[in-house]
Amino acid sequence: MKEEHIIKQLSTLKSIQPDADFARSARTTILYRSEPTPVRFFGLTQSLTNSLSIGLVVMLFIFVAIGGVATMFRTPISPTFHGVDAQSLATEAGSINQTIDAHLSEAAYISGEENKFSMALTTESDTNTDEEIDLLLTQAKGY
Amino acid sequence: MEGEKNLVNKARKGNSEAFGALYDYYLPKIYRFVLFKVSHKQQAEDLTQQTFMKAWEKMATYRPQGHPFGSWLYQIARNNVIDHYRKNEFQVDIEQVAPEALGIDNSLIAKLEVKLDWDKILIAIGKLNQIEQDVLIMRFVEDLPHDEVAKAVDKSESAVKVIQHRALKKLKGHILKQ
Repeated sequence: MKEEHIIKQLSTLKSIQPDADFARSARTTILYRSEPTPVRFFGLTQSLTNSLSIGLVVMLFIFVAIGGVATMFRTPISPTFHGVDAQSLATEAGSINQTIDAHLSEAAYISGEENKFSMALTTESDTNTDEEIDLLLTQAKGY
Repeated sequence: MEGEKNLVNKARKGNSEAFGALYDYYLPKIYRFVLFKVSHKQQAEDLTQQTFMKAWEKMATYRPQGHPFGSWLYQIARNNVIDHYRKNEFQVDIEQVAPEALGIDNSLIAKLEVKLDWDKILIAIGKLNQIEQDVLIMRFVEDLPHDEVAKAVDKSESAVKVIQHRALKKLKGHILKQ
């Protein structure tokens, strides 16, 4: 059997027709018992959907821009966490400052003392060197 | 179809007479297409009616895009058949379905002297996969051009040509095996 013969046989299937009764009853059912979606309503639905989508995107953008959820739970004037005592926090911070100041003063004192010791050493060293030079000059003159 | 564009525009605005004219023209084509896919006359009638019902309800959303109205109807029919098989896991064995059960007129068969070949061809078509069946029915039963078939099955024209070539070879093989 050739492919041309198959194609010819397939084309004969075109003679199959639906029942006339079925065609008539289905036509009535389709056209008079179902309603098409009106073009205007469809257009309106589409435009409402588009507007709603754009609105949601804008709202999301604004929400992100102002800082999202975290900002919503914070008061704009006093940005502190709930459950924290502001007074005790200030006292604690003050004591830490005092401790830091004390350590700085101590460091400054130690630094000053070290400088004095260093200068004293330098002076003493210079004096010894001068005496040695004088002695050597005296010895040289003796020769 | 002559004046199809005008009829489609009227139908899109809700004109039932215009849609009725489109129905009259396309009903036999869609019916045959569905019948060869489901191999059952009653189911073919139900699915054909559903196809036109959906088309009528969604007419406002239809955009021609340069293709005939038929391509859109074939798309709806294909989806209906796919849903039908998804919902009903059983498949009718076409080997057990006589031409009479498909609504094929015996006198017509005798007149054409092709009864044996029809039986063989129907059984062989049932053994092809869905896309191969679609392409062969649209191309050789309904004489649709490649571009319309491509639009209906959502493939490129070249893909349709390849599927057609392969399907014909497979169909020939199945017929020769019988």
